Amino acid sequence: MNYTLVIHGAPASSQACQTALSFAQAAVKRGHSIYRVFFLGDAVHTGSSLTVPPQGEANLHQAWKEFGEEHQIDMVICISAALKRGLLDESEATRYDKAASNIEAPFTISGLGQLIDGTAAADRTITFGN
Amino acid sequence: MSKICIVSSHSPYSSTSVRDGIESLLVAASFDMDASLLVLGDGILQLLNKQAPESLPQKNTGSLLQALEIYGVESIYVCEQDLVDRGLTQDDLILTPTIISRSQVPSLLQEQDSILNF
Repeated sequence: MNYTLVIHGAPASSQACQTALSFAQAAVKRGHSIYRVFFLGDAVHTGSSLTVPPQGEANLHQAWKEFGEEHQIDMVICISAALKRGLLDESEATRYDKAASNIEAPFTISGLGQLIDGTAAADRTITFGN
Repeated sequence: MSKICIVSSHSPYSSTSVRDGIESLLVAASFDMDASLLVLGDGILQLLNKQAPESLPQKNTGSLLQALEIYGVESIYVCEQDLVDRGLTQDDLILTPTIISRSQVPSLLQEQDSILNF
């Protein structure tokens, strides 16, 4: 089965990103594939490379990054949700003349078209945290 | 044509869920998908015809929903029980959604190729 995962909940204040990651890990382990992970709303914070979780707490940015790199997962951060929360990749930072960027590979920034495409292309779409 | 249903179950101005859902619906319609909207629970409040969110300030979700037809989204479903529970009737709503019963929801969702929750 080919899955697209849609995540709404914030990594620091909800369980959505962790539940989605656990699902993705279990799915891949069972031989399924992840077509795309789309981070929407507050879930876009997962993409921030400036995240510093307290000692003893899960680092969801790092965990998703490692999972994405290991399995070559397409992980898309919703652009409109990201920009207004201060999450930018290098090209957006340049475009808006900002001092820094915090979204980098394997995360990419793109629009809702990627959500709809992911939904149409996958066998199943699962929403986490809304 | 691939069928997609956006399920929207939040009240309009407490979060960005509703707008995210409407925007996704518009994108789906622009992808030439057969896109429909199912409004559940407090989501029905998005359809009220006397919204005045200007001072919040936020965009009127009723007006956004009115634009759906232009984009080819003609199927909007609401549950009769959600109207009754909130003391509302069709006359309180913008647009003329299809009013269905709770028991019709599973078959509506069953016909879809994909469903997105907002």
